[in-house]
Amino acid sequence: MAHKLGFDRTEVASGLVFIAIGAWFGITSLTSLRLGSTFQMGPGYFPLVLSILLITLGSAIALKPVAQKMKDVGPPIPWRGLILVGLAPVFVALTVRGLGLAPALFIATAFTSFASRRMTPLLALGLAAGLTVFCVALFSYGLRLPIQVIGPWLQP
Amino acid sequence: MDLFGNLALGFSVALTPFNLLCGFLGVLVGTLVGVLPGIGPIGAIALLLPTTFGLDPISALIMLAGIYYGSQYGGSTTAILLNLPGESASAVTTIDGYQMARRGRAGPALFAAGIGSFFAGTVATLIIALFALPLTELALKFGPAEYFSLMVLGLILSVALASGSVIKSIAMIVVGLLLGLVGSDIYTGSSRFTLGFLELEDGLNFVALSVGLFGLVEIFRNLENESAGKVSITKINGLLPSKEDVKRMIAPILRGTLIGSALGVLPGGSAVLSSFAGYTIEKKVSKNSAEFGHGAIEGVAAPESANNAAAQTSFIPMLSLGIPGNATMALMYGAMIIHGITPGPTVATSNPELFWGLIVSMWLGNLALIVLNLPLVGIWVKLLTIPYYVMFPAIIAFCVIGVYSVGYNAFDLYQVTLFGLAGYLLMRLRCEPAPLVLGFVLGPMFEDHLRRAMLLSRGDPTVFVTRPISATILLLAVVALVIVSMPAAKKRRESMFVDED
Repeated sequence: MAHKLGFDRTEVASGLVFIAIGAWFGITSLTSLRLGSTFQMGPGYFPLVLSILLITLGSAIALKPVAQKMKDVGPPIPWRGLILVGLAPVFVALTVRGLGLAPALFIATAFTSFASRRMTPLLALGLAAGLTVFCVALFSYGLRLPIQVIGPWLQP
Repeated sequence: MDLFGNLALGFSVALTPFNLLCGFLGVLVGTLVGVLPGIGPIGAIALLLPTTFGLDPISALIMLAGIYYGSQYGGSTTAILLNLPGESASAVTTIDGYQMARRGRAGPALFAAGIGSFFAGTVATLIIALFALPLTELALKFGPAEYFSLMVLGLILSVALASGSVIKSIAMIVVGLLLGLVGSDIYTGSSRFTLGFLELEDGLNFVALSVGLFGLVEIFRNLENESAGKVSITKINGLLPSKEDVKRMIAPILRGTLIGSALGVLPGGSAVLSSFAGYTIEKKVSKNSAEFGHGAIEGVAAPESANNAAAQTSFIPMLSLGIPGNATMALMYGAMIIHGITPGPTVATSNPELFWGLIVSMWLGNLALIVLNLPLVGIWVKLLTIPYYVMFPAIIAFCVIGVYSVGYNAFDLYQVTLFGLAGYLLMRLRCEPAPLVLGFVLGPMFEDHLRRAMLLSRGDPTVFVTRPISATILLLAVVALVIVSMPAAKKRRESMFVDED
């Protein structure tokens, strides 16, 4: 059976990602860093070489024709998971100094639990409470990490 | 005398009660994490790395090594009992291991995996003890040109020997190398690619990068398909194998150990590759090859020995040359740096107690594995009944606290989210994150050796091919690259990693 030659969209996209990364590093090296010579390489020399290599590889990946196969869609993107899980470190980063470890961790784990569609509110609260107690006991009291358990925002 | 003296030194370090405890804890936690599907050795080390910050370097490394082979071993338990490889190196164990379990022979399968791993671990430890030091002496003769070529070879081999698209893996390595250069330049002090963030002057945070790429991405991947599937657990009646079993497992264990030890030393050789190679070769040479796929004990003993041997011997390039051969070793490398030790040929002479203590502790860890795992297997299996939606918030909590505790810096946590999301995008584009981490760790070294080599040669780039050792190494790299790009090899490579079902 003859396959029609064409481009795989996933491959083209990944090639473009590599080209974009290479372009950014390459342009930055060219515009704001000293290149130097092969004898005394400046800070921009090696990154420029790497970015040219990366752009070449990216183009080869994107332009490689492949036999057209059935559309490979892949599993659905877990948007809810991406958002809720991705927010957890950011939330802790913003609040751990102010609220302290225990409240910051409790809130973060409580909302991040809902990244799964099978989570129920009651279970999430229980889970967050259990994890907070465990982590505070392990990290603050066990390993003595210097993070305040209850932060200044909550202290009178 | 030398070897015994060194081993005695190692025992004196590893046998202190505290270090014993660290090794034991590492193995215990590693097994626990390895049993849980979705977190492999790389994820386990990345997640638990911060918990070792309070320890002194020796104890921390002993614990991390324990976590490493503990998780490696834990993966095989679930492979046998549930047909679920806890990590990729034990994927091949599912083929015969699960069939054995279905026939009510889970006990002997677990026993074969355990005793095979222990034997392989013992031999591999001896190999490290024998070869790491001579290699170290060789490494001291290497100049920057040789080091540069060696890293090229290591990176090429790591791509050639792994699964997946060669060209994309190389591209991922280059991205890793570039990311490794972010921060201030060591020669001139000018800041590179920091976008003006002062926090980035010291470079991107290694722990945040690996936690994002291996921790969060794994969670996202598991959230894609939330099936309601329940795990059914095989009952284990009696661990002890029959006389016939023991007879049949000796040769495969020996062969597996040999293959694994050899493949582990190669830069780029990994436990995954060795278990596949161990299985494929065993199937070819075994008298009972017809039984493979239907519960042959050889099909469990060989790959399990091979992957454990490789897990151990892959420490050799890192301990002697200072070059991590695969992503797991890249993490161990990062861990050593964080603890203030630069891995390389000088470690054995400047820190002999660390060097030999670590080696001896590997053997003790293997002993702990077998003592711990066979009797406790029932408990490990119970862990599997915990549903994933209860587990992942705990993983996130550990990730967050772990990364924060590196430098108590909010900026590191933003990097976790960033690398998690970017890693997921790349994964959807069918790009594996492991080569990126390897590149990231090697990036600064790579550039440093290149610049020094060029300074020494007064800007003559032919230095890499005119120095004989360097030229030989580069030639090997070219040969490896040509071989994997040939259509025939390509096909074989693909079939090796997919393999029969």
